[in-house]
Amino acid sequence: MKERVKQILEETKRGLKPPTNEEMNEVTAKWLFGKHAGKMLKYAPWSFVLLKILWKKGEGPWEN
Amino acid sequence: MKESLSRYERIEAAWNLEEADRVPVSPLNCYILAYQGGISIREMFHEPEKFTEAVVKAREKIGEGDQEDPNITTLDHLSLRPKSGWDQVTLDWRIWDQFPPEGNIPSFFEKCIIEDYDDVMERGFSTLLFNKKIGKDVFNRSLEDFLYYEFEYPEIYAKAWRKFVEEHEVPLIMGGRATIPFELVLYYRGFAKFVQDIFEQPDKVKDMCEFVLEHEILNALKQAMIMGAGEVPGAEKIFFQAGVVGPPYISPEVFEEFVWPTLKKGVDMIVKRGFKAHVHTDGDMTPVLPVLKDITKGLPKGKVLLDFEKTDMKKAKEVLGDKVCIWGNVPASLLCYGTPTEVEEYCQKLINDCAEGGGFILATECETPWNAKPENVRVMIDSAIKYGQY
Repeated sequence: MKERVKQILEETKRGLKPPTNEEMNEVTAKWLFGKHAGKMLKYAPWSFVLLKILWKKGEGPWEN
Repeated sequence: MKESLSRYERIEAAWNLEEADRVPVSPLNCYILAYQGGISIREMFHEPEKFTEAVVKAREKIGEGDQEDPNITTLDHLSLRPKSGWDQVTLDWRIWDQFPPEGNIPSFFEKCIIEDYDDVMERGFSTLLFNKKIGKDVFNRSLEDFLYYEFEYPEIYAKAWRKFVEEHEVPLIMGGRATIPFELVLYYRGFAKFVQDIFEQPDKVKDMCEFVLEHEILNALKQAMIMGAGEVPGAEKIFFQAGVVGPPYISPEVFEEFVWPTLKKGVDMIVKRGFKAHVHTDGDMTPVLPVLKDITKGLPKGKVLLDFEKTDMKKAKEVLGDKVCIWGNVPASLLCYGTPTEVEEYCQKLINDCAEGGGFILATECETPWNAKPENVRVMIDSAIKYGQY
């Protein structure tokens, strides 16, 4: 790899602000549980047993 | 003649609106890599080492562009959590093992998955996971299979591509993918209902676009980190894509009101976190070029690229040339049905129209069709060398 390419990559790496695990958890929880994200995350993993309650009658694949 | 640059330096110069040694060339090769490399779609999806070996074979036939697409679409298709609207868990994507005529490239069966926007924003997408409208094959996948392809496989996939980049010094076109929110919501609603929504419940459409944006972008950034952003050339680029976010599918007014706000926000999020935004749009964006002129507003130079399909490239160069690198747009039809002479003439004209001063990458319209004639793709590469010297 050329020195100039290594230099560009190093500069790029220094500037990266990738999402943290906490950010990923928050954004995933919001996407998965909408307005319930906060409480689902707070009490995870036990809160996930409530997931089935989020489904309305007729929505669950197990009902097919 | 300028000093000969490495492929990555050449691409970097174009992103920075500078003249390199020559015009970079980068056909967006996806399924053609597997097809010309002699492997099946199944092998392409599940055996990354075999896939990258096929890429080397394919490049011998179709020419060696300055970058390659690591086909993150395959990871998105196999994922447990929806990414870029390419998953099989909330949408009906069907994936075959073979190319036509025995099979097909992955196909999307449009259905109305979201019945009520408010309901999804209230309860989240968990209510749409494994819904009754998705393809039945997905239920044949085991728990282990889903977990493997979500959490372990991306690392294995990235390792194979890192090896490819190091051995062949070919940068990646992207490290992560995201879909422009307007189009992502459309996938879940279906075209007819979505168009109706634009007129009947416009605020809900806008709210839903905002709702999906952050999840979409952060997942793409995470994917780029797995692919080696900051270590593997090109992995720092996020392919922010859509097929129908502009004319002729929607009017310039609808673009400005519904597409632009979350498109610009997404680009800002990508760039402000140190990544680069490769904005891919199909259709003819010529009427919205004045709006796209602001895509780099508030951002440092060299961080955004606009990738066009049917857009008038000469006009794009005039309007955007001092703001953003442009990419395009040898027609897919020409690559499949044209002659090498016709392709060469088209490339020469594109270079004449767009190359001056840098900031142009000679590329395909959307992607290189899987069944494009190898000699036509090869002549694209040759044209950049023949006509694109600075």
